Amino acid sequence: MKRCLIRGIASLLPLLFLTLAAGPVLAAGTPAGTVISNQATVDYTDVNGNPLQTVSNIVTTVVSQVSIVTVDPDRASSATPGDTVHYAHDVTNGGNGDDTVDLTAVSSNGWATALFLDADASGTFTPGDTPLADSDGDGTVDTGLLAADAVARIIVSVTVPAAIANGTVDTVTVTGTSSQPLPASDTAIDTTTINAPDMSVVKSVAPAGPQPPATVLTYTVVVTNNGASDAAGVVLTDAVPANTTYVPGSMTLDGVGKTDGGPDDEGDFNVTAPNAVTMTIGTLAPGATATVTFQVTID
Amino acid sequence: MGARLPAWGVAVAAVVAVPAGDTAVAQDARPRIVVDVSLKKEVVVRDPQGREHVTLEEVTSSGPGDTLVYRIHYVNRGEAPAVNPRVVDPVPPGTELVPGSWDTEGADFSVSVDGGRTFHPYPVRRTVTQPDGASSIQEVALSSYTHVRWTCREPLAPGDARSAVFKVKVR
Repeated sequence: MKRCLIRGIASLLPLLFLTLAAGPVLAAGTPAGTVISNQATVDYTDVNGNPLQTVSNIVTTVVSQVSIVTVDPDRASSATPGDTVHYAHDVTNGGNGDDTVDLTAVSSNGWATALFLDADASGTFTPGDTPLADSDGDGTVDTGLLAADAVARIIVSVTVPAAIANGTVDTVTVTGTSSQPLPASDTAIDTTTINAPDMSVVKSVAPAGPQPPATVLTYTVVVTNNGASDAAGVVLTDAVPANTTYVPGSMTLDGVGKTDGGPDDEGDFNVTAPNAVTMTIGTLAPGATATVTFQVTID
Repeated sequence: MGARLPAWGVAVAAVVAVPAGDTAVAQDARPRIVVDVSLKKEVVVRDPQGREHVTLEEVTSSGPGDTLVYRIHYVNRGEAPAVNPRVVDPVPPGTELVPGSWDTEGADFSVSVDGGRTFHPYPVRRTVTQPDGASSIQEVALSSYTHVRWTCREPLAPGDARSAVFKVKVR
């Protein structure tokens, strides 16, 4: 009965000690180089109850380095031609020892990329952010030495060339690779969708079909921005056809008459370009149209 | 060893002293356990059919996630039975016990969560009090276990050997 009582009390003890027993949680795992050793003990008695004890040999193993690299997160943005877009990423050494993570950024369209250290950890590109260096001299830029569990914050930039069609999609693959003998790597994908102006020009004439000389023809030119961003500096130039003569003062822009002379308004005839109507439309928002009309007489 | 006994123990022994011949046997014939620990690592290999098999290999190094197998072999090299043998082995720091990885043949297995001061049947549970005052009983985390112990049910006779096995995973 006494034994049972003691055992009963003993079984309660863990409730008191458990919070003390829980050790620190190592996200990176047991540090490389840690020696794991073990030695067993046997307690026993002789037949007279005299306590005896013996201990075993000690067996050890050394924890080797395991490399784990993560590059997060994937990001996406839109951009217009000529823009430079920046994407922030965290590069984490999830291994159990120091590591230097090599980084590359490759555009699916072959556009220019660059890698920066996010020096102020702002997550946005700021003047203090410096290009990543090749700290270990292996020919690839890297994070510099990262301790286990350490995070390097980086910025990837990609520059969209000037003449890129609306709707073009580019992916930059950002790859982080461990410098350890058993290399680990991870990638993040930055997706850039291009919003560009996309111009269409439709020209019609009235009256249509065969016409006798001296007939006045009215040309209507509709300029439309079908793209996803503003078209700036739009200029329409339309040459007067052979065997016709421009009707002076006949040009309009969106139903408003424009003079044939030079820079007084948007339109001119035979000033900017010889024997042609030139209309400076300016900026056309996505979906916007500009309608230009002028008349000629068949010679 | 006798010198370390408390005085009352010596006195009792004197009172119950058996005839001279038997006393001589009791003093000379003593148990003497010799214990040896070996360490191997589980390695997963694929056969040509793509099936995975676990083999035990000598340990040169180990990494996080590796499973280490400790085998404790003990033999009574003495000339008298070893009574109530208890094998205690620490779960090495940096590792955690693999549930169910121990053998219990001929022995009662128990675990410690307090550095070997007290031992309890596996698993150890604790009472967790929620913010609303309700309490529930949960098993402790595997990383809480500090020691394992086997308590033999029978004495170990001279010349007899036993072994105990358990596994840990490198964190």
